[in-house]
Amino acid sequence: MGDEAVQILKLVDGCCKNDRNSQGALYHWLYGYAMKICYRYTNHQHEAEELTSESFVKLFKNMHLFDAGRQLNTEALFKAWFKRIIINTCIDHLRKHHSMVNGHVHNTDTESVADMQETAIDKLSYEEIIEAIKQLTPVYRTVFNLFAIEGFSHEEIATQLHISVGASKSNLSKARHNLRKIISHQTQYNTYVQTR
Amino acid sequence: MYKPDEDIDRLSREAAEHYNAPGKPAWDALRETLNKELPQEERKRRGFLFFFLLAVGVSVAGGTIWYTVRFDTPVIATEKPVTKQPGQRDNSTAAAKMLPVKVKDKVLSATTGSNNNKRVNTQKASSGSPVTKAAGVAMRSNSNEVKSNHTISLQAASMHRPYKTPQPPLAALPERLPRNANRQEAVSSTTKKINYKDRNREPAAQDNSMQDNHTGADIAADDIKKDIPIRELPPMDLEHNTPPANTRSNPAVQLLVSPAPAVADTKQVVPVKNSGVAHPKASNLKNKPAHQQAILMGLTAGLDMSTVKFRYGSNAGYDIGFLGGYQFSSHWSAYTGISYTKKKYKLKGSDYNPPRNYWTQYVQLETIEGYCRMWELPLLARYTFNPGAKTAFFVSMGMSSYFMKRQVYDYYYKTSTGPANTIWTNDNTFNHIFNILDLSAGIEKRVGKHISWQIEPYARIPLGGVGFGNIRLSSFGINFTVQYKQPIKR
Repeated sequence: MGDEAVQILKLVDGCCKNDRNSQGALYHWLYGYAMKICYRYTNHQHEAEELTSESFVKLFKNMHLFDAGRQLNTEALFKAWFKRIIINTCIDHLRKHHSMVNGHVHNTDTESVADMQETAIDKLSYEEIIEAIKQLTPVYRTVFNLFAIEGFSHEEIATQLHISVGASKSNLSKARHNLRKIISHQTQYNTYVQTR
Repeated sequence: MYKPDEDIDRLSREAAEHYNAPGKPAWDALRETLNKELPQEERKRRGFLFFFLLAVGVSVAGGTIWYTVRFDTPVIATEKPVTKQPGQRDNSTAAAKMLPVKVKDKVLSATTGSNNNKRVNTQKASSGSPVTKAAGVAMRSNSNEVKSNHTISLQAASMHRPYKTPQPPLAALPERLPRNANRQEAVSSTTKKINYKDRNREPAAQDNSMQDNHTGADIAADDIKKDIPIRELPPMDLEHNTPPANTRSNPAVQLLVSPAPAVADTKQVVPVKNSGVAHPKASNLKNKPAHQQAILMGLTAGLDMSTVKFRYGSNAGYDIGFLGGYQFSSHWSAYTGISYTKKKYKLKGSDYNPPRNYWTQYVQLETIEGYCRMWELPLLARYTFNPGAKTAFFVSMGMSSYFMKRQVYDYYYKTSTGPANTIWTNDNTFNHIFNILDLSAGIEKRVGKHISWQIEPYARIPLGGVGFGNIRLSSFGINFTVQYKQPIKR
């Protein structure tokens, strides 16, 4: 077991003992990681920060459930476990504050997407792509995040969101469609700014 | 042309992986939340208890030593070197041997017994025969209260006078004192005329007293009674029946004037049991170096300036504590103690070395400002250049131990969104045993018999990293100490 794993396990052990210093160290270590995830699931920064804090509270409350076992990559294992906590927190938040009900999916974007330049999305920065994802509706954004970025299957998404598999596939398709449209607008705006 | 879905998903994954989310850590807010959601148990006070017990132990030990030293019971001198010359008889009071057996026992008991016995024997002797009266005079010499070292020395010396002065037989006494003369008259005249105020007028009596075993002690006893400044005796003239100018040729006067050289002239020094007579002050003279040993106690307070590799300055901290020490000799002493210290400092981010994977290693740490509170235990050896002087100079060197109790740091670092700072508190204890080189020099000024104050600039150089950040924390400052010195009397 490497030094990194030992350090992580020490922090985990300290958190299990409700040691504030260990919790603080873990918080500072994983804050950016958690914020990146939460930021993709929400529209506003302060909302993402709230979700991040809530995720950490859940983490510290359930730290004793983490079992590193004999895994070689303790850091990856721990981050994956924490990521699951964050995503569940974001989904719970969406259930509470957005009108996403079982099987019902909002579909506000019905117009067809115009032709996009092939290289349009390649010209966007990472931040612009993320901002484009954030402009999706909560349901589309959640399904797209879960499927395209987190790597969940439609069955898992359906289970987590309490929707049908078909609804998950439909929401994903429409999410991609809307994303293309948003990126196209963004690219056209960038091209306009550059030509001026 | 539509982008394939896979490309959008791939680019989205890459963006999610590499983008930097805005926002700054807000640990303080989360800590407040955790205090509500996950309240902590009350902090254990084991460390405090340890130091409390340590302080109590040190106080009790110091008090015990002080009490023992302060109220020390006189030590009975069991052996005393005296001169034994050829042909000299035993010391068991030659005067007593000249007395009748009944009286002899009384004299012996008077010279060795308690005060009560002395009083009884004195009364009996004073009402007896002339010889008994002489013995009574001798006993009175022992019934005097001993009030000073010198008088006790004289008294002790007078009791051993026969060893130093070979006693001629009674037949060899000067004609001035006939063999069958009235002993009472002789003794009374001796005790009366040996008074040094009148000795120039009555030299013959003094000569008699020198040759009379009975009156050797009497002379000293009467002198002690009258507190005559012995060393101011004027020389006497032999031609006018006065003591010789060279008082050292006169054994009796020699005893009175300077009892110590009598021992120095010894040809053969033999230990003689001193019949249980207490000589506390005489033993003090014998162990004169014992006065140089002392217990030292003091309260100290001072200012502390700390720095890490001299990169930044900072505000002054403080320290306050208790010091205890032991003075081995006039020059050397050892000190220890405990002090509570607050050190303030500022350091560069690169000088901060927390454990691996600590979050500060994932940001660009610029500077850290903070302070720490700790208990500090020094162990120092001190050399005083001019001991005994009213103003003394000293240097100290030793090792100190740090027991860091709290560290509060304000981190200043850069993130992708700009500069940020985070306040962090660590209440874990970090112990560094004898990890600090402690150097100091100072001045000590006596303000009383036992009290002195000291000004002591110091430097504490780390031999290793201290605290959570493993930082090289050097400290410089000045301590002000009020010290109480209790000599050890033996």
